[in-house]
Amino acid sequence: MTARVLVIEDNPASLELMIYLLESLGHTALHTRDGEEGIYIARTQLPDLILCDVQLPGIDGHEVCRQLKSHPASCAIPLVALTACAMVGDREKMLAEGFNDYLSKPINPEKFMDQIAPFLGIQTGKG
Amino acid sequence: MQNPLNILHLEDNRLDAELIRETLTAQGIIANMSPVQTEDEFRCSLKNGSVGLILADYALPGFDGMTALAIARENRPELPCICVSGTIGEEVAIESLKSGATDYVLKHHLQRLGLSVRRALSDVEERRQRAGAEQALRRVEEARRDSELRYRRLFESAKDGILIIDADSGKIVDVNPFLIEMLAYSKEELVSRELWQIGVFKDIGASRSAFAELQERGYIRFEDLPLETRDGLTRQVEFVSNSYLVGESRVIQCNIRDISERKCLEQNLREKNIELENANLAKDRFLANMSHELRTPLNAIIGFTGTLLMKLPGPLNADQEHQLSTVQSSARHLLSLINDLLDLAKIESGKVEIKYEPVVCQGVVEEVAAALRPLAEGKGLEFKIKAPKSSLRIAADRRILSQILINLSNNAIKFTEKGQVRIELGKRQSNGQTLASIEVIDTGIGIRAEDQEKLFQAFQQVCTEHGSEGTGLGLFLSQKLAILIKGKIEFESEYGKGSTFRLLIPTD
Repeated sequence: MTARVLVIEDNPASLELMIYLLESLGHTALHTRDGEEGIYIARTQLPDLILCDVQLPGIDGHEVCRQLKSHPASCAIPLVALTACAMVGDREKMLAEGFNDYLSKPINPEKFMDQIAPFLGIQTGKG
Repeated sequence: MQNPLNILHLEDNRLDAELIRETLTAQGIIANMSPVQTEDEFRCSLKNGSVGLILADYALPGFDGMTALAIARENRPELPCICVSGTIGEEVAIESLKSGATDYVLKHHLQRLGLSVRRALSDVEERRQRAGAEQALRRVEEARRDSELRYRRLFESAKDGILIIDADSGKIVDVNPFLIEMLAYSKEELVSRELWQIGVFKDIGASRSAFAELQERGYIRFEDLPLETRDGLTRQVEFVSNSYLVGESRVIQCNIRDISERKCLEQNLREKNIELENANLAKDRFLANMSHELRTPLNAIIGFTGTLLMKLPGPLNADQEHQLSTVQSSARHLLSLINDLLDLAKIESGKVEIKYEPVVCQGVVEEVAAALRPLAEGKGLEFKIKAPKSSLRIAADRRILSQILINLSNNAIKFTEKGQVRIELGKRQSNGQTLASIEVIDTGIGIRAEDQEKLFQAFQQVCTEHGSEGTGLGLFLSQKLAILIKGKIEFESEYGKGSTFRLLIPTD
């Protein structure tokens, strides 16, 4: 199954990695390095999944989450935090804010497919 | 008269003595008469303390009334002495009165005797009472002087400022040296002026209202009042006032304790605390940032190494694959080092939250085995569990317990080249306590006796033939975590044969 996945990530190397992985898995990657633009793309393009970094210039991932989840056009789109904030409590905090899941950096590319599969309606295990 | 009167009776004529005794009895005076005739007898009887009155004949052979009077005055000046004589002339009578006789009675006029005795005794009584009253008064006066002296000493030497104010007028009545020194005003500048005329109490409105409150309630207290000294310095004082009556007038006593130094120390302490808190926050922020900044580049390193090794961009030759695997394991090593350091920082700052919950050890061990079995099997090792059928239950933080077992199992796999790694569950008794024992047993290289004591120290990695692979923090961290959940880690090892690491945790 081909999905449309929006990646909001300001670090160029990390963004490149995500785009490469998603496209290798056969998905379409929409991307931006800016939170506000991310919200715009989400509302207009309605991707199947959003992967969002937390520390972003301008509005950060927390604010992106708040705006997406409070808007009827975007509240149903699964939103996964992709972050290098991996201190104790960060995960719980983000899930409480409305993120549907949390992936800590560095990600493990071998597991990545299985981690996003549930949000794309793909059976976990082999894609 | 309650007690019979003891009369010392100087008389040489027995008939006269008899007559006088009978006269007294007839006149209602009950008395024990001690008749004496000579000077020696007289002197001797005077020593008798119970004698209450002297009756003395004036003319005696070899001894006379005047001499007796002189002896009596000298030895018992308080005793009334009445001259009773048949031959006394007016001049002699006057002479005897001058010499201290209380009265004189003529023998042919004895009907006066009773009256004279009664008057003499009542004079004595009156004198005695007056003397008693005077003495009592003297004692009161002495007590007052002592009390005043004590008060003065206290007032002058007190290490608190004391101010005495007239409660009606508000005028300062007295001020002690300590307050004078504290406020730098002279005594003259303070005394006789109204409270609010003094710069110290320059907030006239506040001073007046405090004064009014004090007049009404009789007590007022300020924990922390700023007073300005004559030099313009501000002193923080504790101010306690009481009002009370002194005679007719009401006074107010103010006790003023300089707490500037204490306040200053408190302030310093508060500032230091804030600094410390800020430093702690800065450290936490630094750790969080550090974690973030180190993880971000590792994401690209581990991520792209992963995609290459997954051969997503295309096939790899053997050298490329080997070298990329080395990059990957080094990057993962770096990541675990970062994680360990952050964990350690959290433990050291007491930031690790411990959530005790009922844990079945079998469950946790199964999870750990599931996570690490692939790693062991990848090296050709068996990974086994040996556990009793009945559930071994403890109260522990599941996440911490799991982390300790993962660390220990990881180590076991790392330092074992052939054979097996086994987790064994059981119970032990120690000091009357039942402990759950979770052992991680390997058939690895073991630890040399000389290296064993360094094992739980930070960054003390034991050198092995295949170099040092861990962070050097693993066991140090595990022991700290074990202590956090009230447990401990023990170990036994034989070099060349293998090691056993045993986590002991109370079951209750």
